[in-house]
Order: sequence, then C-alpha cells, then structure tokens
Amino acid sequence: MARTFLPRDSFKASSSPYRLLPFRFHRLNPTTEVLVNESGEFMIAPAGTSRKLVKGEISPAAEIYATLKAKHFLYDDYSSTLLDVLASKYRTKYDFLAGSTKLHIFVVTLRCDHSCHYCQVSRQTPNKDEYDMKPAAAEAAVNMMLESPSKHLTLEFQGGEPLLAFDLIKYVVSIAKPRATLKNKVLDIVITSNLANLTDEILCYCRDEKIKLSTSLDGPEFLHNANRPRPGNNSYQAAVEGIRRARKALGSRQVAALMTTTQLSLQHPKEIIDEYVRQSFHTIFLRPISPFGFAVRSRKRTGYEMDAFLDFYRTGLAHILNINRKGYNLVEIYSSILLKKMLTPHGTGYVDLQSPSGAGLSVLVYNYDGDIYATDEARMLAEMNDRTFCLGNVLTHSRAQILTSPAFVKVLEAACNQSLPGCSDCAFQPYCGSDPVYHHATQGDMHGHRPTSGFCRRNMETIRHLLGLLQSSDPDVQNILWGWVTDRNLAEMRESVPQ
Amino acid sequence: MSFAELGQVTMDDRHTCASILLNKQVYSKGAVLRACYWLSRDLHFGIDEQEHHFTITAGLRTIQASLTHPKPAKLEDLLPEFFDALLDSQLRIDIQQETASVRELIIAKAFAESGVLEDPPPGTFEDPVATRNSTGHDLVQISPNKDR
Repeated sequence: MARTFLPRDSFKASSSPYRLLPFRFHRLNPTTEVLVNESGEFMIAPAGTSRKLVKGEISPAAEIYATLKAKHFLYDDYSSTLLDVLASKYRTKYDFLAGSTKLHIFVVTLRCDHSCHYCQVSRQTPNKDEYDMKPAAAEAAVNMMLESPSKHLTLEFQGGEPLLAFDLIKYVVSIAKPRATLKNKVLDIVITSNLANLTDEILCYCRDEKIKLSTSLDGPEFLHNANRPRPGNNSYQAAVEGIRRARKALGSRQVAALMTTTQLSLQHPKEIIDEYVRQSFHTIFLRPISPFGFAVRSRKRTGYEMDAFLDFYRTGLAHILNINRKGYNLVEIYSSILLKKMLTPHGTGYVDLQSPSGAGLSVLVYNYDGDIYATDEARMLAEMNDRTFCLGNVLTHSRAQILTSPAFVKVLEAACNQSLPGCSDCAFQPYCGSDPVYHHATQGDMHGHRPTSGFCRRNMETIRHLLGLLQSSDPDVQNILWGWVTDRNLAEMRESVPQ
Repeated sequence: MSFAELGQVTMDDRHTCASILLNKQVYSKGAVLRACYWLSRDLHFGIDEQEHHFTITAGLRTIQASLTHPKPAKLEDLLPEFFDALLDSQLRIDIQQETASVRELIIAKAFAESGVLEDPPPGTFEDPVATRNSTGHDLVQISPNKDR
C-alpha cells in the first residue's frame, strides 16, 4: 500500500492541552504507581504521575509524555487515530466470550477409593446404582453440551473417581464423538483421575480415542499420602506409577498433574516443586484449597488464611525461577495466566479468572444425578446442601431454560467485575475476574466484600508481586516470565533478547 | 504534623474512634463512600452530610488483641490509609468523568458487529498517519445509522 507521510511540522510537540484516555491506577509503594488502560496495557511510573496527568501538568517535552501517549493514556493534536486500535485490543481481551460454554464437566460417579481431607464429594460405596450417572442422564448431557455454539468443546470426566465408572465413560464417548462430528465440532476429552485404577485396557482405550489424563500430585510421598489417604496408604505410589504408564502409552504431553495446597503443604513449597521436577513435569499450578464443603468442615486439617498461602506462593515462585535459571523449564500456571493478561492483548480460557465470570458462561457441570451446576465448586456446595447454583436438570430442562433460570440470572448479576464495588475502579480489573460462587461460599453474598475477600487479596497481591518481578534488575527474571507468555525457555529468551 | 494538628481529625482518649471533617468542595460523596468501603475491614464508619462538610466517624472494629485478631490495627496507622484512599478515589472519579464518553465508545466499537458506529473513526489501523482527518481533534465521530 502506498504510504504518505505528513510534513515534519506535524510531529512537533503539541501546544494545546492533551486529553485523557480511560485508565485506572494503583499505588505500588511510596515511590511508584502503576497505570493500566482499558485494554490492560500497563505502565509503572513515579508516584503522583496519575495526579499530574489528570491535572494537565505533564509537559509535552517531558520524557514520560511520549510513553503515556504511546501506551494510550493520553492523546493530543498529533495523535494518530487510536480508537480502532484500542477497540481491537479490548475485543481481543474478551475473545473468550465468543462461542459460549466450552468446558463441560461430566461427574460420572461420586464413588472413590481415596478419602482426601479436602474433597467435598467422594463417596466410598460399592453400590453403583446410588452414585453413578445413568445412561439417560448421560445422553441428555451430551446433547446439551453439543447445543453450545462453540466449535471447540472440552468434555472432562470427573468424580469421585471416574475410572470406577469406565463403562459409562466409554458410553458417553461413543455417543458424543459421532454427534460432535455431525455438528462439525472439535471435541477434546480429558479424564481427571487419581490413576489408582488405571489398567492396560483403559490406557489402550485412551490412546485409541485420544483422551488426555489429568491427575493429582500434591508433592513428595509423605505429603501426597497425608493429603490423599487410601487403603494401603499408597496413593503416591499409585499416582507416580500411573503417570509413568500413562506417559508411556499416551505420550508426555497427554498427561497433566495438579496440586492442592493444604495446611501441611504450606510448610513444603520447595519440596512440592522439586517433586514436580523429579517427575519430569514442566508445569506446576500453585493453587489454594477451595474454601468449600468438607474443606471448611475439616478446617483444622486443611484450612488456612490467604496470607499464609501468599507466603507459600511467593516462596514457591522464587524457587521456580531458580530452577529455570539452572536450565530446567518449569512454568507456574497461575502466574503465566496473569502474565498473559498483563503482557499481551489476549485473554485466557481460565474460567476462575474471567469477567463476566466463567460460571455457566464458560463451564457447565453435569452431576451424576443429572443436575446442572454453574461450576465444579457449585456442585461441591450442593453436596453440603447449598443448592444455590443448581441451574436445573438435564432430564427436565432445556439449555435455554438453564441459561435463563433464576439461579443463573442471579449469578450473572454478580458476574462482571466492571460493575462490582471495589472492582469497578481497580487498576487490576482487566487482569482479574469475578467469582460469585467463591464469594457466596465464603461471605454469603455473590457480589462479595472486596476488603475482606480472599479472592481479591490473592489476586491483588499476586499481580503486585508479578509487577515487582517484571521490574527486576535481573534480566533472567524478565526473560523467564516473558518466556512463559511466549512459550520459550530461558535459553531461547536469552538468544532472542540482547543482554 | 499529625492529622489532629491539621484540624481535620479529632480522636477519643483511647484512640479507638475518630471524627473527620471533610470539605465538600474537595471531596465528593462518591469518593468518601469508596474510601470508607476500602477501610471497612478494620473500621466501621458513620457518615453525616452537612451543607459544606461531611463528618465521618470512624471506629476500630477490633480494639483488644484476641486469638482471631492477635495484632489489631491502630487508628493512627489506618487514618493515613484513609486519606490516601480518599485522594485516590476522588482522582479515579475525576478520570472516570473525563473519559466516560471515550470509554463507552471503545467498548461499543469493540463489540459492535455493525451499526453502532456507521462511519469508522478517521484514520486506519494500517496507516493511521496518512488519513488523519484535519477537521477536528476528537478521536471519533458518530453519524446516524443510515440503515435505520
């Protein structure tokens, strides 16, 4: 395309006042603050910059003026048109909304051979009829899942221990796959399992059907066995042996692991991370316990305050950065999700950190009895006799009825952090989300009270910590964090960025 | 210099409760409410509106240490936080007021498949410099939807 240039005079400093573009700010410490614009671009500046900017006291000749202009915090006579760019970035950030519900969780059974302290739902019973999903409910759930407009769907089997209902998994897959093909949809299938009941037959089936496995690994043997008791006290052996066999049969990338942080875990962040390295994982998700159900009841065993978790997270993240420095690529998932939101125009598909909340919009849970919940945590609440987030039943309700149910409308009212007290003018709003289920469970109010919210505290402090790391004078820290966003290891980053 | 010396704040003898006088020409009701909201974990507030001032009564929620609150916050430490929150809240309101129309347009444009803005803003994504409209400095121009 032929390009013309304006005369040199067009680029001189403006003599008329600049005007503001929408932004929010947050004090980081007594000397610095962060400014964040509507699409999530941020700029760390000396304390008082926002005030000077609003008062029109930033001189066009000042060095910071050009940065404020380039990062869309102000515009003047000589700004090129910005609205298209800002709108495009904003739309990209909210791309996750397109296609509606993508993650569909099938709770095929509540039966389980483990008795984890933090589990809300498992039942130890040999009676299949009582807690297994019936084929009619499974088929209705498959049909409802395929009504979602999204072209790309994820079908995740959960429990209890879903492999105890392997025949039902096979039935669901056998009807879901051809029906998805007929509707021209791509179906990813995941089984979340403790792997204790993994057989060669199951592995061959997963390999043939291209099914991924996700498991739990809470840390080294003493910790995993303490967190996840089972008869024989060998849950760790079962998990690592299952991971080894699954990798051999399906390939390393088809097997993932998640950890849950209990009170005991808080004392061992480095040991947990080292266990993930020992098991050759390249990702770890330092995630707090869900404050639901049995986790609240058994507080003496598992409960802790968010500040204790944040100490655990910061210590763990420092250890992970050191491991990366030594040449082993290890990504902390929660940090990488936030960094992607902070450093790129893109949003993420992570349902717990979305606004509007992912509850119901991005995820639906089909319980063993056919009841539908807005999130996995919502069905855990139901197991504690709180059915606030039950949206209906697959056997008696249509998708339209589910998504217009009074329960779902209530969730939607508290689903946008853009309109929540405390969030509406928070600088971290573009990076954060809303979690009506969490706030209902912990504060008895879906909207939540930000000054006392564990969700708010966790995200505020995590984002502040990441912003601090991004300002680190150690280039390797920046390289590692940028590498998590761009899917490159430290060596590749060192090569691509001049030192 | 303490807040009390500034004449804005008076505290009870036990330093558990403070009365704060705020000029309405400086702080809006929205800023006062937002600042109180953010400090409401440690303080409970009463707000009284007069012709020229707000009178804020702030009391400590926890006065004595206990097992659940081993280190209760001190009023002297919380008041500077309150005044910082007040200033920040007022500034945020000023920014929101000045940028509200541009923000609405960005969001409308982001989500509009068609029809919200009939004519694109001056300039293009590919070559924003060349086609800059010399008729005005505003970022956007809205014209009626001709299809309606």
